[in-house]
Parts: sequence; structure tokens; C-alpha cells
Amino acid sequence: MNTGERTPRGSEEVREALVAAAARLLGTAPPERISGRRLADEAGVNYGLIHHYFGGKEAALREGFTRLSESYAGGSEDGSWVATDPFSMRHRPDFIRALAFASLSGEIDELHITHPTTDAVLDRARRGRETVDETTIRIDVGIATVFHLSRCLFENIIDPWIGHDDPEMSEAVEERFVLILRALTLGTDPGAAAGGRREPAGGSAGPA
Amino acid sequence: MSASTADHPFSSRDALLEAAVNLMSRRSPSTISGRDLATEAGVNYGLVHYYFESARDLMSEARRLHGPWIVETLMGGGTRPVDSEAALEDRRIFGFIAHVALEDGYLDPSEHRPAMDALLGLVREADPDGDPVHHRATVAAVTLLLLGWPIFVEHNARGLGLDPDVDGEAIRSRFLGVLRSLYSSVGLEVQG
Repeated sequence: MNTGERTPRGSEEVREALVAAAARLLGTAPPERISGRRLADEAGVNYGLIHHYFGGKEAALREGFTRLSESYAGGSEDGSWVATDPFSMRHRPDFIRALAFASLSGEIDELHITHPTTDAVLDRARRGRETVDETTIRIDVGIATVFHLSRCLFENIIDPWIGHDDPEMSEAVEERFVLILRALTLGTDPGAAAGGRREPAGGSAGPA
Repeated sequence: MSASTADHPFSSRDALLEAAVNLMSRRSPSTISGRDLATEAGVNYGLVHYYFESARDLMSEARRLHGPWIVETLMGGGTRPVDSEAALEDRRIFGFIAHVALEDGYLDPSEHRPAMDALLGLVREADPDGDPVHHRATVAAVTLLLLGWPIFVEHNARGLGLDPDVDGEAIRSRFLGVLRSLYSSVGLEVQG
């Protein structure tokens, strides 16, 4: 399954081929089901080279995960979306699937990564909430991120239901989703956002 | 879990369907064999092919019955929303649906979503003159939050520098507050 024309040669090419192969495979199966042989085959390199360069397939998969995370954070090459857009993860189904597989199989901690977009989102969440403690702000951003990721992972299940009777409904609900995501991030009332109200940051009507 | 065999005692067919739900809650359907299903159900392997055309056919049937099963057993026949706290712990809900969503070519997008329909029915009853967009957005958002929470919360918390062991209670109570806010905006009061 090596997508290149020829076998990767030299340490740089082999490493790169293995990390790229790991990034591709992580979106197709839980990490524990990706064997070293499968990884080598996908990369088009000799099985023994995984051990030589990474010490084992786990480290290669971890780098594959980091690769997914960084390329998502970089946004699209043509500039059509950036990672801080609402629901930007829908542009990267491979990454969202990799996260879900790793989480469902209980291996997410080994693959622990810091999202490079986190700081930008936190900065935005702090605006207008100078009196709110940092832990609460982080909790709110975490809950908003759950909504973001879930919305992208379950798009195929939820979207047909939303627009089932009425295609115009999809667009209207999408706008509410953006308002809900904003409310969760800023700690304002998500119920009011679902009803179409856009509350200012730092509003008193928190969800608790 | 099958309603069609309600007048029969618990049958091998039901045992196989329940085994499919249990296994699909933990693994992708493509990794589950007919032998796995028979072993989990504690029935003879031959019965898989007696009752179903294939293991895949059995799992498709389990998938079709999953929504009605949620409505029947977890929503009191459609009289109340799923209990939020129970839903966050129950792999048969989020694990099952996630594995179906992650399996290529396994989902039928035109299929009904009985649990979401049932919740929408409750919302309309509680808020008869409300805005239909608000209703649908609320049902979808609650569903997404309940499904996504068990999958992503720990990873997100760690990524944000929170410690689930220390901050877990605060995160959870904030999250339940979010659900309460969404429910109450359409006139539904839920406990928790």
C-alpha cells in the first residue's frame, strides 16, 4: 500500500514513510489492532526497520498521532478553513476517527497529545471573563470541545435526522449549533443559544 | 431485546442479539465473527446461521433494534428522556453507536432514529408553541453531548491541563448543568 513509486531508502525517508503510514492507519482501526507488519506493509518498508527507528510500533503510532494533530492544527493548504473555525474537525475525518478509536479502546492516554489550537481557544474563552477562575474556563472549553468532536464524529448519524423532513432545517440548526458551541466555550447559557439567543461573553447566565 | 418474541421465553435468537449488542459496544463489527457471537451468547455456533444469514446480518438486526430498545427500556417507552448519568456510563449506548458510526459502509443514513424521535416528541409536548428549530437543535445537541462525553472528555481534560482525578467532579457537574440548561429551555425538567 505504499503510495510512492519506489521503496523508501535512507533513514529520513524510512522514518517519514512509517510516520505517514501510521497516521493513515490510525483512522482505520484501534491502535492495538494495527500490527507492526501492517504498518511496515503500509509504509512499504522492511518490518525490522520499525524497531530500528522507533524501538517498537507504539512509538511509531504515537508519532503518527502527533502528525495528525499538527496537520489538523495547520488548517487546510488552500486556506479554506482554519482549525479555530467552529466544527473545523469535520474537515479531518481521519483525525476524528483516530481519536475515537484510540479512546474507545482505552489507549488514548498513551497517545496523549496537546492540541496546538488549545491556547488560541483558551485565549478567546478568557475574554470578558476576567473574574472567572482558570479551572472553570478550562472545564468550559473542554465541554465545548466534546460538543465539537462529537458533532463531527456523529455527523453521518445526526445530520440525516436533522434534515429528514425539511432540508431548510439543516441550515437553521447548523446556525444554532454554532451558537451552542460559542455558549459552551464562553460559559453562557446553552439552552438560550439553542433558542437562537446570542449572549455576550461574561454573561451571568452560566449553565450551572 | 427483541419485541417480536415477547410471547416466547428468552430464546437463543434473543441471546445472539444481546451478544451482538454487548460485543459491538466494545469492538467494531468488522472484528466480530459468528463464533465470537455464539460464544458470547453461550449458544451453539450453528444457531447463528439457523436464525440469520450471516454474522453481519445478525449485527445489522441488532443495529435496527438498538433504537427501539433505547426507547423501550431506557426512556420508559418514550415517556421520559434517557437518564443522563446512566447514559454516560453505559457502553451499550455510546460504545455501540460509536462503533456503528466508525464502521465504513455499515450505517444506513435513511434509517429512523427512534430515540431522537421519541425525545423530540417529549419536547413538543412540553413546549407545544415553541420554535421547531430550537426543538430539533436541542434534541440533536443533547444527543451529541451524551454520546461524545464518554468518548472525548478525559482526553480533552488532559489536553487542557486538567486532571480528571482532581477536577472530575467539577467537570461532571458543569456538564450536567449544560444538559439541564438545554432541557429546561424547551420545558423539560430532568433530575440530576
